Amino acid sequence: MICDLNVPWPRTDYSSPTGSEILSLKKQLAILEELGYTHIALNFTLDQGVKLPSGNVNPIDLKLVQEFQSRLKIFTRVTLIIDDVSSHQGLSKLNTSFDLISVIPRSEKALQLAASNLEIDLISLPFHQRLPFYLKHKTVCSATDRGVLFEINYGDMISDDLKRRNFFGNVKGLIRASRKRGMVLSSGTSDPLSLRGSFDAVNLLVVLGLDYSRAQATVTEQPTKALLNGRLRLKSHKQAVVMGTDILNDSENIGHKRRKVETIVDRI
Amino acid sequence: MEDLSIERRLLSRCTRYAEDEDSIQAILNSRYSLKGDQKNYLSLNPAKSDYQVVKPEVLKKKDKVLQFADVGEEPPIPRYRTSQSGSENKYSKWKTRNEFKQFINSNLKLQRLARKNVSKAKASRSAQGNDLNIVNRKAFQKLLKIEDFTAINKLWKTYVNDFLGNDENTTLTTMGSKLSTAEFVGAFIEVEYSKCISNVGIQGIVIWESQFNFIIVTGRGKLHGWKGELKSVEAPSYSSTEEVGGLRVISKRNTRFLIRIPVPNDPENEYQVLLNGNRIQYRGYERANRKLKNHAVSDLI
Repeated sequence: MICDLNVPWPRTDYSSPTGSEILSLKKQLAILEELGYTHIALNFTLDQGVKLPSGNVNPIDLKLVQEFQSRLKIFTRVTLIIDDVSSHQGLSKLNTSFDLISVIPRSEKALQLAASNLEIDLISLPFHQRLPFYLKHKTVCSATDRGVLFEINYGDMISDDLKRRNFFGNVKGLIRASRKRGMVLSSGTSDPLSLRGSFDAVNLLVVLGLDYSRAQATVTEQPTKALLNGRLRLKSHKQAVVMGTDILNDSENIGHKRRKVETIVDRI
Repeated sequence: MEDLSIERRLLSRCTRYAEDEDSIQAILNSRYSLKGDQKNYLSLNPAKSDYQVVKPEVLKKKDKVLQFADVGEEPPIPRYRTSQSGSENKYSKWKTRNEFKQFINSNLKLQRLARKNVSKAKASRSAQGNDLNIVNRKAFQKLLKIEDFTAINKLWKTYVNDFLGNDENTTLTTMGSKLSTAEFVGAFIEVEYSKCISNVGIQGIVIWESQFNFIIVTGRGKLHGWKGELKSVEAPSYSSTEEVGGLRVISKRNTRFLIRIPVPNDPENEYQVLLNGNRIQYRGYERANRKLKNHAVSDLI
């Protein structure tokens, strides 16, 4: 399985997307399918200030992209931008509605909080900008030990000189700080021209000094871990008791019933 | 005047003096006298019933020699301290545990013997159905059979329904957290995934849960034909281990177990629930009070 865990949802608030936006999203999914991706997450970015509605907090309607259901596994993801450490209450409300939860920390304190305490799957850093803090080994690895992975978005840097320069420096910093562990590579762009096949994307990390097997893992094993972590939060009790039989692929609701299978005990 | 004292009531409840008003009166009258064979305390004799304590017996050497002179194995030597070893305190807390261990080990040993016989029978090509159904032979009467444990499975099914209190608005949080503290002895489980691939697909009734293992009793190969349910297998064949069936010790590590929970008032459907063995590596009674935690998932893939 090859994953791209960051396909941006066209809206960053709770308004519904227009027809043309949905069309471009579908085009993007079609290209990703063509490039060989199998597991996709639609990413809804949410600023900390936005007020959550009282009912359904997940604006992503998977019925809009229903024609891909048989070909791609599509998940929903939310990214919360955290500036201020004191108010991250939104997370607990989002917990049960999205498959994946990630944060974008805007300050060093927020990064430390996300790395050590928050119940999330991914930490997404804006590598195409100059980071306001220095990535420390201790902070980064406290996250990876806990199973929280760092996400690298390659999409933004492809078309811009300055962004590319920042990206290279920052990602080298992350590779050094994380000791080459716990990274996820995803596109993170709504521009279909910036999408790359998994081999191209992996090669980018090889250029930056990651060995090939670890670079390959950033689009295969590592995102699977993130997905599993997120799905287990939804579908299990403390990862011990899982409802349903297929953790990653079951789309059915929790507490569902299955047709009874006759076993030995029924026959004796 | 009717005597309403506690002594009279107690005596009238005894099976020995039931309806025998005269003898009760005689005992009551002589209870404080200094002569006679009465005792100044209540003596209780065991009541008669069908219930008998069955002690696990160690296989005797002569049984084996008669049946399998060619194998020539020594009788199992008890490796643990047991009550039989002389000066041992008979109320030692290790007693039950050691006898259980000894029982499991002797049974597993007997099973290995049965397995050898089955593979021999298979190799000789004269194998009829009866030859393979080795558990019916006299020497192997002590092997555990799944038929004897279906009753405990029925009991477990009613227990788990009562315990979960399932109804229409059962949610994950209630059902999952309750199940994580539930007793699994008696449950019918199936190994859905395991790093040890020869364990995948084994089904059986749990008879004991230890910290790192489930001890289950499985069915016997062709007789129960359990591989018919596995869709991946077209023409099931059974190894000699599977023909013998009986006890299997399944490690919890890197293993997922599938548990089927009946839906009350709905015989058509069932809940299917997976247990991540890595996350429940506690003894059964410890698990009941333990707060589970999320961990990094790299061991669950």
